[in-house]
Amino acid sequence: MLASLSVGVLTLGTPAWRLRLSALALTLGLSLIALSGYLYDAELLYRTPGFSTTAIHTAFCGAFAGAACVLLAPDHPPLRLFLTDTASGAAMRRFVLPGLAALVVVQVVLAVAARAQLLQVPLAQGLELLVVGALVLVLFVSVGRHMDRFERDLLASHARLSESEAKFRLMADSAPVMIWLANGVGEVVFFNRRWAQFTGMPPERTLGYRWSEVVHPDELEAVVERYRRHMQDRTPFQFEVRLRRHDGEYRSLLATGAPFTDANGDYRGFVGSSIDISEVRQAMDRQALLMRELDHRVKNNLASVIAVAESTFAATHDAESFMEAFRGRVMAMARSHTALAAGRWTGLRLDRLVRTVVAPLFHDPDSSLTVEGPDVVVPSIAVAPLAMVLHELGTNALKHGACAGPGGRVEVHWTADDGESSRLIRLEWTERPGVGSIESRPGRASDSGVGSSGLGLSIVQGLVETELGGSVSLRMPPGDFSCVIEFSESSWRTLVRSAEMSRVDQQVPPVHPVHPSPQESAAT
Amino acid sequence: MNTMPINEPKTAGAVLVVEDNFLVGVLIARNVERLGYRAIGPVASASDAIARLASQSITAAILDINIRGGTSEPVAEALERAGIPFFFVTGYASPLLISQRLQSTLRLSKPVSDAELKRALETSVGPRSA
Repeated sequence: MLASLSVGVLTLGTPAWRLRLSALALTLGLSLIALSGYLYDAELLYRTPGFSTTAIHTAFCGAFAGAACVLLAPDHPPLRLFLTDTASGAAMRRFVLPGLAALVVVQVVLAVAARAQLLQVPLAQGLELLVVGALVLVLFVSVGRHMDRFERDLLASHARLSESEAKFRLMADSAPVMIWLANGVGEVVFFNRRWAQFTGMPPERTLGYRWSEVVHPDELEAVVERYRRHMQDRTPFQFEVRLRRHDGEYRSLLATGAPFTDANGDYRGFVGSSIDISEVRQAMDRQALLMRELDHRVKNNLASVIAVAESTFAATHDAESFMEAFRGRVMAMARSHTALAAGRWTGLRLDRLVRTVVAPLFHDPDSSLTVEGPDVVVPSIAVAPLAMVLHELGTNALKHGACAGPGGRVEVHWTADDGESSRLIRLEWTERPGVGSIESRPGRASDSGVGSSGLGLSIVQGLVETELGGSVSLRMPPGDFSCVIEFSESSWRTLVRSAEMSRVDQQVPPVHPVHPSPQESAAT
Repeated sequence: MNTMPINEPKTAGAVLVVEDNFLVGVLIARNVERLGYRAIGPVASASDAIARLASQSITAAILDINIRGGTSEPVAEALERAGIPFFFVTGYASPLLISQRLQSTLRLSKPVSDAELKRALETSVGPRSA
């Protein structure tokens, strides 16, 4: 009893005052029971055969100790953790249960010995007191020390935890990616601020499995299934998913997740991140689109070259004139392409186009070519056919027209008049024969395709009407040859061949479709 | 309105060429004629092509997918309604521009050889009965 009291007093000096208080209460209770027990024992113990009430007292002590602990410190986290923590719980059992068992054994042995007349009753009582006191002392000192150490460790680890948690939150919240943590069964228990900003919802609204509310409906089932499978298998994952942003727009995100363990190597859940890769996705889509478009344009150009070769072949009579005409046409295509590429495919100024295509045909373009007109930008899609048209007119002028003789000149003038909806371009190609030269030549290429140049004016007409959406009017000799080509800028706009192509030309990257956001389902 | 019956004898062998690249269109038309069919066109837009369908008797059609102002899909639909066989000629390797329903339609890749054109025409129209 005295020993019990002293244990209680001894343990008072420790920092966990509530725990010490409960230990003191336990000690006091134990002492009271022991006192009443011994008083009772003195009269009854050795008169009741084969039964020691001290064993009952000891059991009472244990129950009282537990009750005291729980009653006095029900909300004391270290104690609660201590009681539920398996390793420390085992330590507690190691001290308490053997201690109690030893007490019972000592009581029974002494009782039996006294009854068998091996010991004097007062001696037995004295021994019992001594042994019980020693056991209780050992028990309380052990438990006290253990709890001390445990509490110290616990407080220290709590301090570490809160420090690292503060660091973790700081990092997680300032990271440019969305970060989440899931527990062992796959329920998300943490989202960082970035996620809340993306979804526009407070993190607690999307915890557990509720993040799935922002997954694109088309992908929802597959995504959740995939997520569950990885959670079950505890395997890392990485996949692309479309999630609804706060403004209702679906964005492409690259979601990654990996299992993590605690210091003991026990599986604790998943840690993951998501990053908005919509821009990357768009760039990739755009690249794929450009590759397709490149493929398409290369093949179309090859088809055009074959068509030019066939047309030229049909209109020429020998290999040499074929080669000359064919080379000239392909060169015109190449030159216009070069000029377009230099301007990054944004179109070509008409004066530049005329000079690029026509000037190389003349020996002395400065004196034999006049190019004049207001600013007109030919869209990239109209450049190739217009270049072909100008090339045909140029070669015709050289072979059969005014420039076949000395001093011949070509004047290319155009006007741009405001039409109803867009400007009307009127380009006039006029040939001025040199003084004393033949005014015009009967061999000029015409619809019949007669003449060494071949393609002739029927091609010019076909190209203008089919590919430029314009019209051609010719003034044939007598008088100076002239060719008037008219088209409107709006007809150029209809040249755009497909939505896909226009997307490339307008440099507008594709976007994922935006679905109306089901706010009702998100509010559940 | 064109109400040409499906089982009309195909002796006429008139092939509509829808192609917005003029020279390529002329070449295809010429090759069609060389193979013994009569070529109609080339026409460069869907609306022109549909107008030709209404005004002329056509046995088969060759469609460039990507044409002026969009795709030749409306022409394909009109041809289907009229029961006129057709096939595509395109520079695109992957069939992205046309709807799922038309994906199974024969598609030739540009540039098209004479042998391919011949085979495609014979599959669509049957060998020229001349």
